[in-house]
Amino acid sequence: MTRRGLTSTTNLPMRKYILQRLVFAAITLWGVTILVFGLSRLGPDPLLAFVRDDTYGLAEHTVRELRAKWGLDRPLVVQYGVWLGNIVRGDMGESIATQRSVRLTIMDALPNTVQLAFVAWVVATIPGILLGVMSAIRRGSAIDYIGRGIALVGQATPAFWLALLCILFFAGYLQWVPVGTKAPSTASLWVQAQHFILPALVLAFDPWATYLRLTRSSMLEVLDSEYVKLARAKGVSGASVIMRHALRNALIQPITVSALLLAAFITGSVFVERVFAWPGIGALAVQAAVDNDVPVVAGTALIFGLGFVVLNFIADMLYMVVDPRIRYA
Amino acid sequence: MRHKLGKACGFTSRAVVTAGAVAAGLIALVACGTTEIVEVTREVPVEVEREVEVTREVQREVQVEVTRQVEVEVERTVQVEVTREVQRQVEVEVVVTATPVLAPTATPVPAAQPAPPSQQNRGELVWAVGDSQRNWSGFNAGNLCCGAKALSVVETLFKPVGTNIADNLLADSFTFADDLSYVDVKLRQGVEFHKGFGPLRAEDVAWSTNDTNPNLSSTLGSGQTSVTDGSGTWAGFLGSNPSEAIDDQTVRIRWENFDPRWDTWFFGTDGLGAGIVSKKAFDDMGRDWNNDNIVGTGPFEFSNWVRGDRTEYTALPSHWRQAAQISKLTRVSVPDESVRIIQLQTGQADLADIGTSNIPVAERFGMVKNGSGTARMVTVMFAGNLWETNHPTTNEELEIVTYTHDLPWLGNPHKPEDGNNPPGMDDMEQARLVRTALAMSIDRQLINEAVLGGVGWPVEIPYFDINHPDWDNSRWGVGYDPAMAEQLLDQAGYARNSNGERFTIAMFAWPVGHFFADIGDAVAGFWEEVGVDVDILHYEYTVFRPTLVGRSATQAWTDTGPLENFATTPWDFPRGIQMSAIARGGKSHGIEIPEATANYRNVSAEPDRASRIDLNKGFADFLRQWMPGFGVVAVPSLIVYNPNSIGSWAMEPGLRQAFNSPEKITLP
Repeated sequence: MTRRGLTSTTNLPMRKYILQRLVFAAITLWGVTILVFGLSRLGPDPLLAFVRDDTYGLAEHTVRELRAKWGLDRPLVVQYGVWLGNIVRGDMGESIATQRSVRLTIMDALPNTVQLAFVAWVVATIPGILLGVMSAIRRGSAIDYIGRGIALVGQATPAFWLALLCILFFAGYLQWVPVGTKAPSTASLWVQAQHFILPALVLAFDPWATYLRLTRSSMLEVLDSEYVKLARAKGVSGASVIMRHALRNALIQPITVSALLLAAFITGSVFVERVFAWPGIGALAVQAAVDNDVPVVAGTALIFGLGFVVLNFIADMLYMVVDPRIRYA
Repeated sequence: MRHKLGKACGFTSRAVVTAGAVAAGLIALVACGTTEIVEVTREVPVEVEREVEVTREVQREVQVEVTRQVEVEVERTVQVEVTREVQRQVEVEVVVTATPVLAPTATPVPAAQPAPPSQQNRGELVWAVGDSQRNWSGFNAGNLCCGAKALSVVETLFKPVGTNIADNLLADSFTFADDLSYVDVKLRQGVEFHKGFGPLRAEDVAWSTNDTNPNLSSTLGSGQTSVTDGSGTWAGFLGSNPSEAIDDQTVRIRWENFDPRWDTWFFGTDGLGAGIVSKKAFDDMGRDWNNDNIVGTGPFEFSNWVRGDRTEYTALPSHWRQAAQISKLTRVSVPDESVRIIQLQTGQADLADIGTSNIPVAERFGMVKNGSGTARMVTVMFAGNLWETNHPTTNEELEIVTYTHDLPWLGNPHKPEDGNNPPGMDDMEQARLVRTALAMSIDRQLINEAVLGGVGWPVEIPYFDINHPDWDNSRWGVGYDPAMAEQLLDQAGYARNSNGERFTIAMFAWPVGHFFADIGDAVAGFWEEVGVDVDILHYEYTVFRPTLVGRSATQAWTDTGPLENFATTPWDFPRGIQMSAIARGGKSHGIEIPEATANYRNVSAEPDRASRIDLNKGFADFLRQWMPGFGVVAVPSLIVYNPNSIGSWAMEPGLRQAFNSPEKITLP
């Protein structure tokens, strides 16, 4: 058996796995489009979803033209087909409130969210995993209790409440950091960084606890396994056991969860963006909902869906990379 | 301890310290053995309550019709041409202002702590606003409403100089057509657009007017309408009649029907109409550029816009009207009110929009409240009272969907006997008694104190402010009489059951500006007192709105209405469109009453101001009698600012916006 033959044989389940995940992702995305389109057409008269306010002053020909413009005079299936075709070509339509392209509107907001999400992700991941490992190694010690206490508080604290509390204390009382909102792009790097501190910390607090608990439990499980005991029996040093044998296996869960957490940061930062006046996609979605700006609501919902599906797919791939049981299943 | 003692005795800490210093000085003098008499002057802060009746002289413009007959002989036939000229004559009249609490000037109040120093450079102001800073666009309906006009970026043909009088702004003079089907407006000379887009011309006004009319707009195409609450009314006023440039400086504005509010409400700064933007900017730079830029003629240039985050305005060094003292104004979107308050407290923001109940909070750390004098009159409307049977315009039969179940507060004129009426009483009368009882069961003054910190004032019936000189409380007042309310409910056949309840009513109190929800809760509390169980709904307005537009809402709800329910709305302005089927297809109070339709039409068509007021007074009688909705409290529209950043801000009297004319800000 050649090496090439071996590789192609072992890759077969992987390919199947990848293909399977891709098909699932595509079906999920298709479901998302149906949901988003369907919701935008609910209601007694879909035109009302496209004209934000009064139509009573409009001449009849204007109302007719409006229906024609948005294709509301055509059968629902045709409307969906046209809409999906446009989406595939990257045309999400025009915002009712601003008359700008929805794609551009989202592209203005998305980088702000991604920046914040990435910073928060780093802030959550590194200390969360480290504290989880420490908590597991020093089980029953003060560090363990502190870590578990933080995890409990982190998971029990609503982000919007924590955000307000942090603003009141750190920005209002101590005045260490600015009160919310992203610094203008003309500001210095230090000033811009200062504006990230509070929102990133608040956003990271809950996932930090998630990382901590996950890492701690999987680390404890691994430390209790036979191969770790064998390594210790063979006289491998404690640090080496932890770093080379235990940690690598214990990280399978946190690593795969991290992709989903990043997705959650991007799609779930609505409260934090709102409280900190962060001009991201979460704030955009909320404002669009309040403004009855259906194309933008649909666009942001699609992006959220897409983000989750893509990052979920990446998580599946990471699973496969770090866990041989999936690779060879 | 000393501080506490002083407080306990009713002294301020400053007074205690001053008194201590004086005493120490006297002891020292006595100890030194001198007999010199020392005169000590000290300042003691004293709170004085006083009522001020403001008498102001205003210049009021009076329209005088001059009829001139010219005889022209044409082929032995004498033809008489009648030319109507409308001349503007300025006469000075003393007007006693009716605004009860709020003058359009800053009102300093004692603060518990001094205002913080601003973190901005002198003359550069940061304004924390709840608005998303997202929803304007430079060339069309986006500038219909508020922001660009109130911030003096774009200007209008007229500006208010009182609550029902307009003065020329971009207009120089005007002449009506004989049949009042149009007006020719001659423009002021020498007005320049920002960013070098040249002088103001008639074609700019024509283009701005047409482009903001969804029936005609080229940039809207058949496109979006109404990003403001006024667009439908603007479109209805103009119809499909295009405005046109007669010559370089004269524009002919055509409308569907003449409206006496044409200058104040439709072409005035604080009304619904368009601010004038540059057609040349649109032609030269294109749609997308103009979507992100507003090229107006005001004292402030729109200089930067990060959508969803901030807008920046730079003051022009010179302006035909008035150059601003401040150099830059940045409005930053901060949706959470508590965050805006902290920004004020730390000097990160110099101004902020905050809710009425939080204004005393801001005042405690040294902020100053200010406003244009306008106030929203919050009313409770009984949606679902759809009494009209045919559409007022098309005469088509109206679909009525709110009477599938008999609800105590909905009068059903289409089915007078619905099975539960007391003997000899039809459903309309039964529901009228219920609505009247509900209106009488609330203590408006207490709600004002509890929810608004006493900043507002009671409102008895919709659309009519109790502080107006024409208000007659004996004629329209509702008052607080829970005993009478209970009696009326008994009379209507809704006696208390064994649980002490009469019936259940749903009330939508939308959580906007946070006062609607609080006021709704307060009203619900009073209703519970008279045995009416309340299901209070606090979801977003966008959820409720489709049922209003679809005329299927049957809840009572806290509303102000976009047009008529401002305390500053002049008494001769037409009232009733929000209670009329004319508004079908759009938002209304969820009420359709033929008398409201008639009043709106009659007042709109009436050229004489006094007669318009009389008609409206008749409508007030109708509202008091039938109570399709009732007033609760008026909520003043206010902003707060840091006195270390702003010395004074004398705004123009407003019709509906909380602020205007930032060029009038002076630095401390």
